[in-house]
Amino acid sequence: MADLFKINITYSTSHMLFPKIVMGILAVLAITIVIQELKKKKECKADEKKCFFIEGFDKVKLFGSLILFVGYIFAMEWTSFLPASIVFMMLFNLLYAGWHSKKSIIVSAVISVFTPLLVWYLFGIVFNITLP
Amino acid sequence: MSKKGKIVKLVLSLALVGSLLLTGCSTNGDNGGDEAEASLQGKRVRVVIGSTSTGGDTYLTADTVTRYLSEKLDFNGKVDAIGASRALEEIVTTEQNGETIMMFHDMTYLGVAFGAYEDRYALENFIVGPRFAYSQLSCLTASADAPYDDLAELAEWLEANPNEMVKIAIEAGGVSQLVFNSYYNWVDDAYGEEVSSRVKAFISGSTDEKAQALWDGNTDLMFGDVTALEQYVSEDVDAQIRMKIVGITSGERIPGKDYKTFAEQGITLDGEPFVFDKEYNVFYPEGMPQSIIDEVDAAIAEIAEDPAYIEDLETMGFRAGYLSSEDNKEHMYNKRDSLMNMINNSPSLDELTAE
Amino acid sequence: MFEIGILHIAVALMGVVVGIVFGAIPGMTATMALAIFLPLTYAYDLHVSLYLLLGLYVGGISGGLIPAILINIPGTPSSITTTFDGYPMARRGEGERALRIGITSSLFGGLFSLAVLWFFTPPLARMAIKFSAVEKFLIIVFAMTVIAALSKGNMSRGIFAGFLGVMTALVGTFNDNNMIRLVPEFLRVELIYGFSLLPVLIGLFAISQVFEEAEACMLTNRVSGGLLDKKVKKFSFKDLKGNFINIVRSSAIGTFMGILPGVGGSAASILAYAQTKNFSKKPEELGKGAVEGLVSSESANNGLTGGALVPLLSLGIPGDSTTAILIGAFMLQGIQVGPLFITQNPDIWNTILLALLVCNFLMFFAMFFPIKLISKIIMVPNCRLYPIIILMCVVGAYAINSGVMFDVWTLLLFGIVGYLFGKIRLPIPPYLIGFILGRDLEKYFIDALKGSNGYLSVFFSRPIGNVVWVLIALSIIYAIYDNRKTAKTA
Repeated sequence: MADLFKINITYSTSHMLFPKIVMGILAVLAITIVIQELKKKKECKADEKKCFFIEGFDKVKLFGSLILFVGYIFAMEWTSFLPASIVFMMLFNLLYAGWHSKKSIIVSAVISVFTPLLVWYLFGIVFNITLP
Repeated sequence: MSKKGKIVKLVLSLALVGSLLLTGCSTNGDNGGDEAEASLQGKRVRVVIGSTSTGGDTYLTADTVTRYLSEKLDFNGKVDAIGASRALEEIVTTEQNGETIMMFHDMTYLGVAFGAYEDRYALENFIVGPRFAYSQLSCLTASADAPYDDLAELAEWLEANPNEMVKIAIEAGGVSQLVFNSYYNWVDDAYGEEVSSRVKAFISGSTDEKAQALWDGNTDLMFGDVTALEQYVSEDVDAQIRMKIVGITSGERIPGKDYKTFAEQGITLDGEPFVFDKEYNVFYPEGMPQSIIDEVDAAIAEIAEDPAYIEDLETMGFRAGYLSSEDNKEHMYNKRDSLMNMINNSPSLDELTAE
Repeated sequence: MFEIGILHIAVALMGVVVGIVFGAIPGMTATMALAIFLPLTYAYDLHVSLYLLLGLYVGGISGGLIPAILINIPGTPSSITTTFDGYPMARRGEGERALRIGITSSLFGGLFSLAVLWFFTPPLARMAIKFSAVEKFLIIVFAMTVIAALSKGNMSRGIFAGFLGVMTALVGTFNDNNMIRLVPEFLRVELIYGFSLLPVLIGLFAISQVFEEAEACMLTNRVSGGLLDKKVKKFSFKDLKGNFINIVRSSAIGTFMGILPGVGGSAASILAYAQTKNFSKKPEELGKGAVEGLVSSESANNGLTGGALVPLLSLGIPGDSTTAILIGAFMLQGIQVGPLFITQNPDIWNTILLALLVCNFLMFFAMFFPIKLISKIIMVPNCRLYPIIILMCVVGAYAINSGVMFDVWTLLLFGIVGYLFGKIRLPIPPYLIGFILGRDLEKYFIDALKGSNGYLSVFFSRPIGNVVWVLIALSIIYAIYDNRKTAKTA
């Protein structure tokens, strides 16, 4: 009986003890959620098929953000912080604010040159933080 | 539309050109001193250390020597406390431009020897630089009200009380495991398995975690630095947290203090009196230009004589001690080899921690 | 007796301002600010250094409320709960009011904890060591009950998300035996220490927000234009009038969590927020822009400051990760912090108290008056703001572990995770709370078992622990009751 409430801790496997407990809890919860969902479905027959994306979602901006982000990380590894940031800040700005008006592009350019410069100077030089 | 397209192209190409120029400039700067004249002068040097703490011994010694080195060799050095795993990874993979070096103590090779780290981080895979400091101040402490005053008495007490068991708080893979194993092996040799089987390891983390385990009663003894733990020995400290030092690992007693050394209590390692100094060293990635190694060697040799440096280290409980890269390499390899026998013959931590 | 002069105040002001900047930038923290300035302090005398470092500490802890309220991104882990009510207020056009309430609560929390530090350090330190692994484990469980309270009407999903967060926290090396778990072979090196908190936090809050906005075309405005012209509620100190008990309780919880060594500081505001919800007369308002919630979160996270110094200065054990860096400042000057510190160094002790007092007021003035300007951030259009946020998050993530590119990948990964969570209706805050508390939960669970040779009965063997059990039970029962009630009315 007493052994029921005893957990032997073996040094070399102690790293998996707690993850196993949490996994057990997660499994129980997952089953609960599935049952609840099934119940709900029975009650109100699926009124309409739900879309994953919101209606009329902006493909270019959503996937563009993702691609640019990945590109930005690679660019920082290839070059260094400042050039990569200036180029990619520009691209992010163009992507989000559009490239259809001259004024908007100029604003984008100004932002994308000055913010990285400021960050680089303040954090990289003044505070001596390790930058990419 | 075409006009706008042109503007976009123009802006983009300008940005690209600008960035290329900037990169160009920075790489030029790096190439400034080529193979023959490679030097750290004027560079930004990243000093990675094998600890994530900025209050621990590794940081304190590394920061101090980096500060003196930066001044002497005129570079911009910065200590990055990234931890043992990352520092080892960094030193075996980093580019060989001298911009990343590592400073760490004996755990560099002990981690691999104990099997806590992979073999690719073995000493053979990077360059051992000079030693710049050492500490003779590791110790084991127990609660002040423990029924024994030193490690030899502890073994006798265990022999006389067959129902008692002690736990010693240590960190796996570090200097503390080495000290524990040595003590365990000595008890095993001198008092037999019956007694040594009642000396158990309690695996914990940093000094403050070990101290809390001691105060909780989860462990009976703990490993730590004399400088950090000495304050708990004082009479003025609350009984609840008071400790006593039951053994120090250095060869000689600390002047003016009556802490017994391991050696004088008769504790031996492979038949020799047990003495262990924790040494702090520079490490370089493989392929580091010899000119930089020589430059740093020469600088540290001078710094180690500097009274200001010696005093800085001593106020924190460390000693200045220079060993050239060449001597240090030989010294460290020998030290490792001399410990391997004991490490290979020690029982696994599974056994040492099992109830 | 103590030192103060123009130089000290100037240095403290600089510390506070730089601290606020670090706190306000998502991905940079008070801990980082202190780590950066630590090597510089060597050149100064210890008293001056303390003004600087404590300024950074107080500023860094406080600055987090700015982005939390204005753009729904917690600047520091402990300001997560500030977003719950601060941001809804800002969306109603009450950003300025929310900021002023937050700052005033911060000041109160800071002063409360200072008073505690000043008068009760030795007895509290004696009390703190009575909390063993068992009590710490239970207190973390208690803090986690906020997950149940937060996910009203959706409890199973909330709890699931919470445990998923715990699971994510367990990824990496287990400190006891240096074994790596839950890590795919090809990421062994990168994930050796698991995911870092900051990149995960800002990924979940900031980068996922970027994706959601990108999906919605970047067109939405945070505050509808009309609201800004209209007369919105203005701040007055009367706002805090009905909150006196709340502010004292929250400050006390924050201070207490600071005093307890080894329990992460972020737990302070989480626990305080949960209690405010439990004691509130209108718990359904919390999370929708209630002053109460904001007050509780901010007073608790500043309450941490003084609290975390208690074990540091009387036991030599840091109360949180930021004070751990302060040890370095003392050590570099050859001063040992520990049980003898206060009696042996009365002058430094007095300087610390005075510096904390000065820094708290400087923090208040440095933030309270430029608020009109700061709150304009909310007017910046999203398409211009988000690229800058991305830039800052990347810099912060890269720098948090002194230059690890994998942390930037983590940032992106959790941006995507956060975005997907929104799609499958899993709530993010419980997930994050689970993530923050997960490691400590495991550590104290295992430590308690190691100490008791594996007997589970150890969790019921301690008087203080049993009191915490009662609190946990009450908290859960209340959450379930509350959940039922809303389910019925809905």
